Amino acid sequence: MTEDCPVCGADIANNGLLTNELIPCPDCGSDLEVIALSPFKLEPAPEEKEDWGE
Amino acid sequence: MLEAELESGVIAKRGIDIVRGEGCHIWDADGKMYLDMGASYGVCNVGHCNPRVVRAIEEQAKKLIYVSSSYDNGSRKELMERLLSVSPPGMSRVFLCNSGTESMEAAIKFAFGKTGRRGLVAAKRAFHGRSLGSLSLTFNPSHRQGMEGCLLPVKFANFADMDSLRGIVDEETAAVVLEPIQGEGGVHVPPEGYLRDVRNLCDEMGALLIVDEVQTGLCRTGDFFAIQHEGVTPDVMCVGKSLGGGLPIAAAVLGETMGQMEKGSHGSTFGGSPLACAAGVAALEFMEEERLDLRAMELGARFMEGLLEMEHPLVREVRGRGLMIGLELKVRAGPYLSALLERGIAAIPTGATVIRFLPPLVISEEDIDDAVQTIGEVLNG
Repeated sequence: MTEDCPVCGADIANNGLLTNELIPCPDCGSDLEVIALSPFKLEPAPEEKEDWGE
Repeated sequence: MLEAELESGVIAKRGIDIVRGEGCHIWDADGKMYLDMGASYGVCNVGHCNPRVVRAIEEQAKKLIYVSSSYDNGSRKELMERLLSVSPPGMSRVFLCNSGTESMEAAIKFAFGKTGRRGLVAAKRAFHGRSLGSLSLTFNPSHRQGMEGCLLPVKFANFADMDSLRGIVDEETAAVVLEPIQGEGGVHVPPEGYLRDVRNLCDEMGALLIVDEVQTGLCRTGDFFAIQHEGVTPDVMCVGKSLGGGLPIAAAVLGETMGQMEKGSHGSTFGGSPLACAAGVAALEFMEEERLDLRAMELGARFMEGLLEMEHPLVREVRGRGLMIGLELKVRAGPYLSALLERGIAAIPTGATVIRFLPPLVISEEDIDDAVQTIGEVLNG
């Protein structure tokens, strides 16, 4: 099962991913979040605004 | 009124009032104890309120709290001697300041002054501080947001990738700036030989090597400084965080290659205050006598082994060296950090998915084992 990267359109395969798993797009490097497994759906994963700081 | 209502707003507050610390534990106003698995961002390598540091502060405070660095002072001299004695061979001078970012600012100016060049090269995912010079070397766009046009021009190479670095270091490069192990960027350890190769490339191109040991230094990764793992001597080494045992003090340690900086070319009013230096001497003595470098190596191996043995399906990778460890999850780390805090374990995130552990190096085996068990329970939900 594959899904297009929502940022660059590259094909991304679901090889045992988990719901809510964060993965980088192998083509464009964008952080993506697995929103659903069936059907397989990806969305860009925006960086959380909470900064625990350093 | 809550502290968060008084503070500028830049600090992400936890809403917990910490009133006491001892060793690797801190307590809130209600008496709840936390295992400080972040050493308060790597500041408390010798533990909270280390008795030797407390005693040194008391004794120095009765004699002299502050005098300008224009005057000699025994505590300051002893700190510089001790710091040089544990630094890589060939480091010969020290500039004292108050924080890691200040030490990086000094390093940048010294590199510009020494080489006459203006080019800087850093690594993607790097964190070197948030003041304008050090922020220029910090890669994360979220830290740089809003400062466009105010930062120094810096070229960024992929970390631990010599081909990427070779492509951008040139005759205009004043310095290559690197963390020996990236911390804020997700705890990334470079392959063996990388730092030696970077040193050779810098020598070949006439560029300086500045290493940021603010987080990795002072026994954290199993050596006194992480760069010693590869036997490399940098031109400038930035040190901070736990140098003062909890008091603010930092240093740019200079190699013999740097010579003597021009008088008046830089300065710091409070840098090298006798009080902070006395605390620093006590902290360094404790690190050396208690062999915190070896302790970090042994306990870090135990901690990493415990995390790896969990073989938890939510864990993507465990990485690090000594007691600088990143636990990368497949999902967002935030909820698990909050759950750990609720269970009395204060850790630090880095990026969206990594939980960073930088415990005080005085942590016990029992505390590490308890932490591993709690982490497993929290991941199990």
